[in-house]
Amino acid sequence: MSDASTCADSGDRQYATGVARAFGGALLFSLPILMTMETWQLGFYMDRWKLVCLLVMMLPLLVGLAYYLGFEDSTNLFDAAVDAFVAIAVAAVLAAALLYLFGALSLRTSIDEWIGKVALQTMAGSIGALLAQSQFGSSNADNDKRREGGDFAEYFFMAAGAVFLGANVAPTEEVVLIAHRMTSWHTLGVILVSLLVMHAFVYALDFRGQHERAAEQSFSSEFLRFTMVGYLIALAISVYICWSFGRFDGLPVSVALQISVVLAFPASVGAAAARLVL
Amino acid sequence: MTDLGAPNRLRRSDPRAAGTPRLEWALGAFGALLLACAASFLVHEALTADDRPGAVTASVMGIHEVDGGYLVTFVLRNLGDATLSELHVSARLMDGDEEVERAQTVIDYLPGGSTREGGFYLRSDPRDGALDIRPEGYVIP
Repeated sequence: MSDASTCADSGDRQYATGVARAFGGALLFSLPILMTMETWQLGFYMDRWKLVCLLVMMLPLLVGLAYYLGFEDSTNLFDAAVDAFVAIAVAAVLAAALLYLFGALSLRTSIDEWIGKVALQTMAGSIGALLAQSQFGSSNADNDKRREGGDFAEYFFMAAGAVFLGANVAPTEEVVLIAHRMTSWHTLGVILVSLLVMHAFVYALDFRGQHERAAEQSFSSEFLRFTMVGYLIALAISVYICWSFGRFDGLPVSVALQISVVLAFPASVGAAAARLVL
Repeated sequence: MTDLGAPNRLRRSDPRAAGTPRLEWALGAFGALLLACAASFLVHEALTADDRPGAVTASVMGIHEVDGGYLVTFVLRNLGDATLSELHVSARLMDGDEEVERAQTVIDYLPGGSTREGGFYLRSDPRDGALDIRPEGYVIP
């Protein structure tokens, strides 16, 4: 009996260290947007339906990450869901505390503003909290799940990377400003550079975790299957984030597309990096 | 005995075997509760917001003598639902129908249902006349 309770205690203590690490990861990942004024403002003025949708969409992303990466050895989807909720709790507490410390939230701030601001910050922070467990922690053995996941896991990681870097850049006004300065030729150039950078990141630059092109796969097959699909994922996520943040309001489709292409640049770099790092 | 020993040792080195730590359950439940509360609050907000237009009321908080004049601190409250940005606010010091002095300021953002504070610098004592603080215009962010 006493043996079992010691076991549970040591499990708790081990887990507490893991939670502290999760706070570290959440801090690292959410600092850039925590200290960006536009994200505070979006927290209160963005459309409430769109904010709820973003929050709800985060859940499958976090559960999937926890499942594939094995936050605290998640073995099944239920464990992964618990881990995702823990990451949300860690990121929300951290965001609320820091926003209060920075004076961006105060006791006289309306509850609506509190929830809006903290909810937006929680997005990036919870990804950090999850990754802290698998990347910075004392990881045990290689992840087999990723290999089991096959192509789908690769696409999933790319989506997670695109969401993370895209959500970091999207709130800034520069995205719209850059789009307004670009001609159609510039837009085309940005698309080509995004594709090139994505492909180079994963296959050519000798980063740790670089993917070897399988012998039977030709360049064009790899390019189409991962780089091209990855770019489309990054672009789709950029469209969704920009739309959520109200960046398209009152603009013609052509400008909306330019804005999405601008945001898809960092999003695609995030997607490519995620394939290497995760 | 050896048959029992080996799996036991294995089990102890494996964190899963001790069951999910209680702390994990607690934190997980807390996170789920936070998300559920935030989402339901936002849905409630979205459903009940009748998109009342921005309605700004201003009230004077205090009048202070400062070097070369007076400082009037005020608080603005947005009674509507819309977030107002670049809200221009003016203070006019009136003596009967005549405007004695006028000061202006701009509030970056005034979200629906919230308050922001600011101040006007005036040369004449605002207590000598009628002080009229009013919003002049805004744009939707």
